[in-house]
Amino acid sequence: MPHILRRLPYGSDPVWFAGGLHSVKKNQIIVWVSLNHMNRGWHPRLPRIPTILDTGLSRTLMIWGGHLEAGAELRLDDMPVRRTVQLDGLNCQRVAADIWIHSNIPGRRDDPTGQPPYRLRNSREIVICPDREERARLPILGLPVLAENGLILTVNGVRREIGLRTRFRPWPLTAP
Amino acid sequence: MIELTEQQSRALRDNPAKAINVRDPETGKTYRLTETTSVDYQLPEAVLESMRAYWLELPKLLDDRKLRGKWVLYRGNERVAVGKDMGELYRLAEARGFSAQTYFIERIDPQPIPPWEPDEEEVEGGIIEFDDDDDVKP
Repeated sequence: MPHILRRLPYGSDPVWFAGGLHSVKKNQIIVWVSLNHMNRGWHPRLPRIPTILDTGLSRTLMIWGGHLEAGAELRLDDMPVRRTVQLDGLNCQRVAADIWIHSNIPGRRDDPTGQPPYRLRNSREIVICPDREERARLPILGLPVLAENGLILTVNGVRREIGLRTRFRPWPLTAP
Repeated sequence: MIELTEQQSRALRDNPAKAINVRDPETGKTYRLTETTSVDYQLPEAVLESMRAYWLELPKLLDDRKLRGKWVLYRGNERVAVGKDMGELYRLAEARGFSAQTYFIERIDPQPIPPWEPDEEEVEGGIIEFDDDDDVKP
């Protein structure tokens, strides 16, 4: 079965991101992704950024403006706007972008396998919000990326691990 | 943006937490005023102009059955191209050297609200975090 994430543990090990160490709650799932302008493809120099997988989030991926620049090395001004959307009454921007998920070495959360990441072909925008200190400290990956791309998420609450896989195609054979 | 009254401004300055409760005398509801460093993201004027052009022409575009479901690229008042998918038009915009925040690409479909209005559905579910006693601090 074509796996993207295998036995990915979740726990409270902090992660380094955007020039700082960020704490992680013990029941937060960290998934590493890369972002780029739409159509520019993936390349190994694109930063890997940690996101919290939150199936309650109604958007593909939400990131704070400061994190976009410092962590993903992208600028809001360079991203084509699709629409605006509000978060607690504040205007955020929906912008066109491509997203990739990095696979992990089974049993390890933060170590990549080294193979090209999995491109989320059907999720081609992200939401960028003005920085808010009182909200979650890391970017958030939402349920739409799983649903729109036909991915299957499994949570093993006994072993405290998750898995993520595609339905059919062995993804390393598809262009990233 | 709504300006604070002098009384509210003084109350905020005097409060070490930089937060005060205010009450609407008409409804009796209370609200919390608190300091924030967040700044709203506004749509760039060039994108707004392109969105207005799209919105103006949308009824005409929808009348053409061949165009329905396709994507269209506007830059200012100009309809630059129509394409089968969004990615194709973003490629075209980039190939023509358009700056990212000067154009607008949207599907030719009935739209419930103008594109410059925020989505009817807010961002929902942004994590609420609680501090756990055994959290590992960085």
